[in-house]
Amino acid sequence: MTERFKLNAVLDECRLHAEVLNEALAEIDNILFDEESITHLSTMQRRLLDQIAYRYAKLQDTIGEKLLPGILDLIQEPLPEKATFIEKLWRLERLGVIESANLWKELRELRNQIAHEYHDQPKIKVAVINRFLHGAHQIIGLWQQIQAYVNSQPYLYSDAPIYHQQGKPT
Amino acid sequence: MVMSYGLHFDRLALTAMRLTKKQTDTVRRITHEIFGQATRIWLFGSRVDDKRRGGDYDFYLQTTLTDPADIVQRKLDLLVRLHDTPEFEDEKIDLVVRPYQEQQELPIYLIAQSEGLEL
Repeated sequence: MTERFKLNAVLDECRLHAEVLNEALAEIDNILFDEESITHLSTMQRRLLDQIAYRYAKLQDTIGEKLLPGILDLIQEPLPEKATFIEKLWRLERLGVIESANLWKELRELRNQIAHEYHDQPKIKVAVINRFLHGAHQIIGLWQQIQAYVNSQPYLYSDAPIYHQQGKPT
Repeated sequence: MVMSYGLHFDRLALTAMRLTKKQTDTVRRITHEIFGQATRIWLFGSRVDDKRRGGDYDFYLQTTLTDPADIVQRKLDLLVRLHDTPEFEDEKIDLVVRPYQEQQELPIYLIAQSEGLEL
């Protein structure tokens, strides 16, 4: 299986997660929850929040573990063998694949925050959920930016030759 | 020789908790930058128990901020900044933040203050 073929499969996977995430966000209708509404969630709202949390995590995992490393491999950007994930993020930011390495890290922390229950801190719980819904829109934005980058580089998804700055195919 | 004296001194000073001086300085500096100088910080949980090994870093913060949305955003900023440092890279950190003038005295606040150590 070629690297490009693998990358196309990963792109399809991301597309699916983003699509379902988008649908769930549209269905929950950009609600800003408050203490009252969060304690009286309908069954449907609860399911949607679960679905958003699941697809958010899947989308971030697929992007972080498969898509970004795959892009770096195909771009043939030399990185130290033991480059950390953060160093890779900085490189991707510099290349314009992602807008901000910091946003990625923030969305990662947000995902861990949503796993807490906050039984005793209802105000904080509401703020975390509202921030998480905003974060779900941000991660879709991040995915769209990566997608736009890939679309602008035909060699990433087709047999087009790689053009480096000198303009010569390699 | 000088180095070994330094290490010895650090251990004496921090005998009741498993947090290095560098980690303590890092947490204090970044927390105060993000939550303000008046923020009080406690370490609690397994890291104040000398007999245990490893474990999460549990911090309890008393802040002068009141807006929950603002607190949640700053909490994210703090976690990103701490995980960016060599002292806390890949470490699991839990932050309990008490908003200013919160009337309710939650059990977790009481435990953190009574069993924890203020940094």
